[in-house]
Amino acid sequence: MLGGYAGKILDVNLESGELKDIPLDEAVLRMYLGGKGLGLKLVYNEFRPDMQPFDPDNLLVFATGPATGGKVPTSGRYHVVCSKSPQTGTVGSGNSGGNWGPYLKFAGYDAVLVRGISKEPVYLSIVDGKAELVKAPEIWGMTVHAVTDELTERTGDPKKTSVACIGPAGENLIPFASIMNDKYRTAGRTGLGAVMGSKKLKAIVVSGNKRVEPANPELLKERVADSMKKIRENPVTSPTGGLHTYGTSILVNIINEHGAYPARNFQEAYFPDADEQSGETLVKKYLTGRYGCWGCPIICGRKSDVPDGPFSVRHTEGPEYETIFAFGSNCGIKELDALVKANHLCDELGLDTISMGDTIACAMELVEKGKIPEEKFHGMNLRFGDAGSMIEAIWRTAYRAGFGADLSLGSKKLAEKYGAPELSITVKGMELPAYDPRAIEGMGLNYATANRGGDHVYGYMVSPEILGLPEKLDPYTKEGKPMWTIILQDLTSAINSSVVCLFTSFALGLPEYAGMLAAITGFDLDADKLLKLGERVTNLERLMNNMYGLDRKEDILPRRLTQEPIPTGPSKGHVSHVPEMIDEYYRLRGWIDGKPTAEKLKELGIV
Amino acid sequence: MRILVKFLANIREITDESEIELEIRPGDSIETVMKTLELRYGKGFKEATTGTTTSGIPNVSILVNGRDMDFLKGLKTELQEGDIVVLIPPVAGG
Repeated sequence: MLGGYAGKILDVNLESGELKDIPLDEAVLRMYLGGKGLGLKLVYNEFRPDMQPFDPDNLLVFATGPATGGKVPTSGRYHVVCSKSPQTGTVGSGNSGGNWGPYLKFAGYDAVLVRGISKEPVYLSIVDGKAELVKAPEIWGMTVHAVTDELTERTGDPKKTSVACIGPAGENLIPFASIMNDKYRTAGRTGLGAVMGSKKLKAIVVSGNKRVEPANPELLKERVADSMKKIRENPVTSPTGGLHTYGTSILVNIINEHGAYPARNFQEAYFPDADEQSGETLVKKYLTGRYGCWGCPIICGRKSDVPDGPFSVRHTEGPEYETIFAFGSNCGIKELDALVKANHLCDELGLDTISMGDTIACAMELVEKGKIPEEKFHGMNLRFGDAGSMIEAIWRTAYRAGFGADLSLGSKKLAEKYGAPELSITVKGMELPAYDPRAIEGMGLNYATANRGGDHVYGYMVSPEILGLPEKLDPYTKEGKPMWTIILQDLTSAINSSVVCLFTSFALGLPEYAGMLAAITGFDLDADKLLKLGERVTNLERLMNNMYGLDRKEDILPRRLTQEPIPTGPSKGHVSHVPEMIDEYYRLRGWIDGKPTAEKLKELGIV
Repeated sequence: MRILVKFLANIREITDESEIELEIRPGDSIETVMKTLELRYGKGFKEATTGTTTSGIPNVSILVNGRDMDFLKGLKTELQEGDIVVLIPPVAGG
């Protein structure tokens, strides 16, 4: 077998209960590598354009890559895809860290492909190469933390065991429910948790310690040492660097001072109270420790504790930057303890924090604009700045309780329901993350063109446009942005197929990734070939979305961001110019109206 | 003329305050302000805000009213009454 792979996929049919081992296809790996690429290819093999999100043949694929669980720094990750997202109507996609990916591989599998719908709640157990479906109606209804503890205890050795599961939100088919692993790590976006819930699959427990050998161990050792040196010397990723010290929420003040920190449902892009919810403040007030995913030298996760007050929560983790924005500035809320609590609730219930926070923010603006009659709330006082009602809205959404049933629609359908679709700040039905594209032109182009909708980690243009990495680009200009966006999107597709953490890209580039992957797999890879592989993955995802009917009409930003100038703060007066960049983006991609041409698909070997 | 200077991340740890108001004179630039701050906060501040890291990344990015000074006139950018200057070390997130 090739280096870096366990060599097989577990094919799980929940309807018949049949479990099959499928050997990996080397030709597919050479083209798609693993992780996201492999998952998309498996979905494409059985693609049906009239697929509905909760159909039995909506495939759910959990896939590691050749780097997962190996010597490469930050190789604790895996990727999840599904044929159709209940949130966006596109192919669904999410990525997560923790221990689950490595432990799946150590248990003997590179990937798990789930099909069908079980008659009753089950969990899948994969322990030391033995896979088993276990009927478990008694765990249906449990929160993420409770079911994780329960299944870890049942399985035995916690040192080699990890649980990926859904919470009540996934069981209740909330379209932005997440898949959680190791309690706090999340494949958060596109409603993968709802697809898992529709299949009555509560959890996948993996346990094992069988390591996989690389093709060329000596060469890998050398290349890993070089990459580790670069990570350790980089001020962002080093063991004493910004990510380790302050976590991702170090961005709160930085993005705010650039006038790009969205506030009050993207009505504004500057939040005067941002420092109260910043990474600096989190360290000072609530940080109790740090968490690192498997094999990670960066260790950016937060352990936090709010010991008292109305939002007290003990021994939790987070919150990340995106979560702070979504429940904080975007809801007009400054209290950091409330944001820690909101994050904890979403982790327990299995909800995507960005979509949840943005949907509440959308509801708050609907209230502000008088679009929702007061009697709809049954006593809830949902308005910008009200932390208590924001917290209440979270559990109500997970259980569709009262007005929570409306919130569970997500902001697009919620705003449509109340006659103000322009107040939903979404792309392809998915809520936007924490960067106002009116102040960061390339990020707007990335949002508009991302296959899974409003997505900051599809091609993280913030890196060159705000952070100056790998080089500094002016965030207010359009020139060169289509090319940069494409490169970062395809690089990310390659990283998510490897699978390593995107944060390494602050210190490493294509040559380092390609060098390590070549040593692991034995494939003939260099920087250009790896970027081409990433392009293939991006295009395959786009092709399937096109087959669902997506084209340039969906590659747009909400009207607010192209028509309403930022009203206050450092970027006052700016709007996004995505419509002026999109044709150049398509031209460079080899796409027409958002669709890859036959020549492009042939060049990439997709068809 | 008065300006506001804000300190982020580890630069804040050196200054031990998140922001200060500074009195400047007409024609003063970012360079002038940085020299004033070096005198006020000492060697540690100077080391943290000049030169590059071992991986070649500048030790500080400086914003004036939200604009990176590299897109203005760099250290020679002249400051005006009410300007907000922000000092950012090389950090990132996601």
